[in-house]
Amino acid sequence: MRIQAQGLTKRFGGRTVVDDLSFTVEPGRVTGFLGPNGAGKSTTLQLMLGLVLGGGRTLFDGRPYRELADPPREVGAVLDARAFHPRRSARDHLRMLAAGAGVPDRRVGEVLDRVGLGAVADRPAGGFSLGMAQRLGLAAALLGDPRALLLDEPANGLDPHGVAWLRELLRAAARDRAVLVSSHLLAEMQLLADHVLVIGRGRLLADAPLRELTARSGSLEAAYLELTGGEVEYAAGGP
Amino acid sequence: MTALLRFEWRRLRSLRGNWALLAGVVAFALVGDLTAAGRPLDAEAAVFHLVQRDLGVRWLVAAAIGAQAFGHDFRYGTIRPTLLAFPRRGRLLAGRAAAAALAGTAVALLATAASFALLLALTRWDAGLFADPRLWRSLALGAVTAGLVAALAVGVGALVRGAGLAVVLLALWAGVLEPLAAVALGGGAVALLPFLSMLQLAAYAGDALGVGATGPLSAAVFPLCLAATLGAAAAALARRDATHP
Repeated sequence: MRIQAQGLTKRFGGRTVVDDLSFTVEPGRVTGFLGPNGAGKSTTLQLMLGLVLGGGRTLFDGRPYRELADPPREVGAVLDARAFHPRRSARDHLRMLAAGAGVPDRRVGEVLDRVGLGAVADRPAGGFSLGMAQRLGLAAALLGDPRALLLDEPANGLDPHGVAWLRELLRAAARDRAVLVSSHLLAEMQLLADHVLVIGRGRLLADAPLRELTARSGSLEAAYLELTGGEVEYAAGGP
Repeated sequence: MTALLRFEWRRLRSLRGNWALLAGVVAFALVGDLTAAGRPLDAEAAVFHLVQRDLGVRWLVAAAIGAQAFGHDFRYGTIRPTLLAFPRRGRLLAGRAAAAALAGTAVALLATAASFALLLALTRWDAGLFADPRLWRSLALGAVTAGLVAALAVGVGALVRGAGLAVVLLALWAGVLEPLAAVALGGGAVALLPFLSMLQLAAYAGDALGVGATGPLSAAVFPLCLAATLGAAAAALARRDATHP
């Protein structure tokens, strides 16, 4: 599935958070989505899926998200790790989503095992650590075996084993899917991404293959710091 | 729409609190029935025990069931997964209102059935009890009104983005504002007040409040109010970002 974002724009009050952003996420590769805090990454992902309302449009193989015939089977997303009712078990949370997506119940057990939550699936999700909540979010995104994945900071809260597992999962998923991943972890993104989008203050600063960026600056971190030097909104003082 | 109804059924049944609400409304009815032990049970007494006596409690439970649809979504952030599964917001609202109406009606029917069984065991029931059409009309209306209240609560929950606040507002509306309005405006106004007109309609003789039976127009008051609320909720959902506090 090809994802085309065209002229995405979002204003909160008088402040432009996403400013005429256009890019394409191609299938068969992991596209990293980078930017400083407050750059508009999460808002962009929500705009793409119609969760926040603004200007521009995003087409998933030529159709907006709300016009997809079977959205959860076409696009999987993790935008907020803790988007579940705390007293509902992980299994029931996924069963509910599966019922909405027309996915059989046995798939719930499969994805729970795949993300490593099989043993705790019947516990209330409110007691989960952030890493477990991220895994539950990933399970929800994978439930419909979608052709595209949009993930907002999916490595947050994962331990090193979890980060390595996530990298393998996304690398495997990207063989035949479009995968867009936002992250602050530049070292991890250097290992994971094939292509990189960098934004600052809601504007696109770079849209290039990872190899090209790192060849130019030596490392992704160096390229990122160079690109976003003037775009950091919440800069700390000296040590 | 079938997928949305399945989703809602899973959502409702996977929270213990909803089973507690159902058990509570049935227990409340059964305890109330104990007061009727040994007494004669004709159709009018049956309607009092099965519908009028507990109608407020059943509406409250129906409101709690309906209000949590969007109320919980906004409180716990599940509005995002919900909208990812059902991105057409108007259709989501309509489906949820329908699902809540079914759930509210089912809860009222279950409580009525349990209560009826106990009443038949405890009382000396009239031989003509089951032949009175007004009994069945009241029983049906009692259950349908619970379904309508649940659907209304879906709309109010979406507007205020909270289940608790929605239930409190509906309780104030039905339990305080409407009775005050009826007192201030006179008994004739009851026919135009959504909750009181439903209470009147569900009564055995169409007059639970002793202010005169309501006419056929009263039957349209609550559905009109429901349509207006769901319309406002649809407009609010369509123009708001799916964020939670």
